[in-house]
Amino acid sequence: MKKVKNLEELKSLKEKCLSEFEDPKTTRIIVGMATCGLAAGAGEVFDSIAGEIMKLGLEDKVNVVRSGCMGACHSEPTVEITVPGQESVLYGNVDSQSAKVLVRNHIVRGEIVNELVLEKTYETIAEWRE
Amino acid sequence: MGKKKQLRIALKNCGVIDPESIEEYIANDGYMALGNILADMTPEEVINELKESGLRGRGGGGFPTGLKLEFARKNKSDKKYIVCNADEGDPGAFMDRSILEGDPHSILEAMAICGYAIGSDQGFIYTRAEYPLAIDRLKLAISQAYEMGLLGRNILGSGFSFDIELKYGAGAFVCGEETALINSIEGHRGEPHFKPPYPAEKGLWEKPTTVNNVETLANIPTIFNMGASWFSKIGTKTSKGTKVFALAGNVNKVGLVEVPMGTTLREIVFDIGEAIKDGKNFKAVQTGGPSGGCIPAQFLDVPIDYESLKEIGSMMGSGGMIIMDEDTCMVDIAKYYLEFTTDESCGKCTACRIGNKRLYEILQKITEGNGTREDLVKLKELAEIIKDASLCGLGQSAPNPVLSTMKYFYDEYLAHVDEKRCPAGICSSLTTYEINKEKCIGCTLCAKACPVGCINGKVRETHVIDQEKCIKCGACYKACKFDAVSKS
Repeated sequence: MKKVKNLEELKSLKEKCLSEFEDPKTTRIIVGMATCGLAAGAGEVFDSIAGEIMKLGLEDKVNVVRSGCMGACHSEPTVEITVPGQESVLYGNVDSQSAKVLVRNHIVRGEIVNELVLEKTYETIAEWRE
Repeated sequence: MGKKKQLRIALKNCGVIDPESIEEYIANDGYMALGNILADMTPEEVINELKESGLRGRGGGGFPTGLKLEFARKNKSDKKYIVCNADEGDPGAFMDRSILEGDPHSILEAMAICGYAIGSDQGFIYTRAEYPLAIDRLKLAISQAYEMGLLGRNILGSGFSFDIELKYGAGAFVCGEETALINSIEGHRGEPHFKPPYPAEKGLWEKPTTVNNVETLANIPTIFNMGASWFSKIGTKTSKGTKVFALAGNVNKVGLVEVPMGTTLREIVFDIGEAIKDGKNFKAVQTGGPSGGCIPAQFLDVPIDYESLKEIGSMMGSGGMIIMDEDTCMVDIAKYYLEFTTDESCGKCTACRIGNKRLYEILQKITEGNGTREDLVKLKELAEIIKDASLCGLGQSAPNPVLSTMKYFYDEYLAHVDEKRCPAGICSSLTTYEINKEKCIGCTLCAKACPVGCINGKVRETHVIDQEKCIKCGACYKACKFDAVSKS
């Protein structure tokens, strides 16, 4: 990592990081992996998703991310899938088997796995501002 | 207010970014507040902005954050310290852990901002050693920030330097109290001392120190990115912004929730928590952990803020929120919290060390069916004395669970004392299980479930519980499919 020397450099670094973060070509899969999620088996879910992505050769198109707590303790492990250009979908009570189904149905075939969908119950700062 | 009831400010990055990637934090405005402050604002302006935002301490006390920084700024010294209090210890509370695990950089950025505001170049994060994942992610975040020059010498070419070190607590609840925490960092026993002097005057190693809770800090970068006036529009007259609660207990949707101040308990329990489990009735909500109180149904529509919760005999606390249904015995709950505080009292003050022990013993006597009316008078009197005579927040608030349950659920205390009856059927000494002869079909399920083998009866014949041997575990009650086991 290069040192950021001043505010201008930080701003241009932010633009670079943001374009990677919001890359319009990459699907983003977030697995909630705080202590709570891990205790419920999020580690196995992550491995299962990553394994399936490898198997299907989708590494370049899909980014699997270990994230923190999404707040839905009642339905851990939780997984959120954002396909570019589409509304993100939150899934709950995922296990290593259904994780594979999520990859094959949601990402490969574009079909939402309705029985695991969780409602998103909070607003972000941006939504609040609007 | 938004239709979804929840707004995420302190938790904005949790579950959104990869906490192990500084790039993802930067993509989401990370270190932008610090960068702008170092380039364009004086320390006084930073403090004023925080004062205008109305941000108050989220660890429970609710002291205005801007004012706290101002005190430390005004005290002249060659060395000052910023401390992040991550010694989260309330039973059932995990707000701070979630923030540290989900968004560690926000804490580092906020600490550097506070350091700039008071003129400090050194910060400490005091965290529980029982949070290994939080510690790993903090360590990684700190090393990334150093590598990028966002911590360390001459940050972003501004001339301002700030270092952060981790300190681990050994799990003592009292170390969440700031003077005890400071003692612990210095390597002394984790015991509180009298205030004043406040840490802003004589804190860590006798130097001016600001101690802030994790959630308080997590709000700070957003306040500067969005502006104090934006932040102060959210909430109530006296309490601005949001509060994170760890919603637990008998609700359908337990979880980590963040709501604007002024949200009612009813909205949290019934809209966000989606009502009480198994269709049962709501009885009480416990806020503020061992320092707080139990709030009955009549206050479900009170908008939550620091003042309103205090008025109804509880407190905001750090954010533990335990929902209780009709099957909860309030005397037993008071006893549970007392057991916790007697365990965690550091022992310095007699009132807390011995007084709470005596409170616990009286409660035990009541739950065993040996309590008298005189005990109830003694209970209340002693609770008041402990509150008055203890030095720190632990002792001053330890009797709150007793006082609030006595205030709102006195009939339950009376039932235990006068009728030797536990209305909820929780206190085992006061509960008997019996098998109804008419309903029992002799399926033997209860006898199989009984761990002490005290249920006798043959197949297709009425079963009988041997009351002498029964340990009142309730296994038969749960096992029976014909509603033949009754609890009284």
